[in-house]
Amino acid sequence: MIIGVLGVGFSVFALSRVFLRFREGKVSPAMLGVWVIIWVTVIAFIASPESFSPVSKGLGIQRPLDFMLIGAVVMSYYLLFRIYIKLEDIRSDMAKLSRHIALKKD
Amino acid sequence: MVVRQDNALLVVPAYNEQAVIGETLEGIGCLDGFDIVVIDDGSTDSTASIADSFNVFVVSHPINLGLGAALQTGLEYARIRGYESIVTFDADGQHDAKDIMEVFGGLEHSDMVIGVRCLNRGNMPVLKRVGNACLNLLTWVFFGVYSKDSQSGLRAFGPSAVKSMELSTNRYEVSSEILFEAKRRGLSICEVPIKAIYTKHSMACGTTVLDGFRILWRMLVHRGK
Repeated sequence: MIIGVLGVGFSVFALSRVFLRFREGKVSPAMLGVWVIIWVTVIAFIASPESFSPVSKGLGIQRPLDFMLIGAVVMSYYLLFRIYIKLEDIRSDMAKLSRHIALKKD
Repeated sequence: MVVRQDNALLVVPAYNEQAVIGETLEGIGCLDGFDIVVIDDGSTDSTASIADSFNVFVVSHPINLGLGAALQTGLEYARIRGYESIVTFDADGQHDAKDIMEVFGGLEHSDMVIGVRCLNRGNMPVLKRVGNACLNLLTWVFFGVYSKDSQSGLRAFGPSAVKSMELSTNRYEVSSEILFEAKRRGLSICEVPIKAIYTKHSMACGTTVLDGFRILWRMLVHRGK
């Protein structure tokens, strides 16, 4: 029970942060949608895990909790990959800027 | 196709090469017709000042960006200055200046030429040979182009290649990207045998096993984008 309350509390806190960033214009509407879906799913799962049984069984996973854990791990790896690509883009922009400075100096 | 030597640029990417840059530039300085640009990739030693004392152009990156970024700067420099073709030449002393003309000569019938380090393959350390073979295979798997020496630093780019190539990777993986870009642009590629000089210094500067894994990872990311 306590873990459930903590989980819902954290999810609500995370949602509030996303809305705050959206209001500041730092999160796009599409990303707002993605994060709302993620955190609302987490809250729904904590409130009623058995309601996810049809989905998890349909995917061949017996327990809804396993389904959520697998989903969370896959999602984490995907997000890590996206962050890596973002970093690469920043590195590329930095290279362009440095090139511009170097060629201008010459 | 006639490619004019007096309108060709020799691009020498260099990073912390103070021990050998002078010798390398002396070696290639005796070639008539070529203009030379040293791309100093944010060296923290006196590479740039040594290069400056020769009759060459020197372009310095404010920070270290990697081989790919240095080659892109060389390409951009050639375009701005109106050079028709370029030859890239490693600063670490592993190439023989005499091979430049061999590689450049290949542009008569191809858009791009790769110098394949095979003339004294026996001198190539086993680990390097295996590593190169793996990277050649990976370049073929990921980019669909096979080269006998995909990681060679001695290459020539003809007018079509100089005009059309758009590189995006900043580090060692650029060598594989160059082949992919040539394929994407429909450029013809030929390979000519060259000599490789393995000194303690050139061995320390080349790609390591760890670099090999980094190249693989970046190829994956590049394909996944």
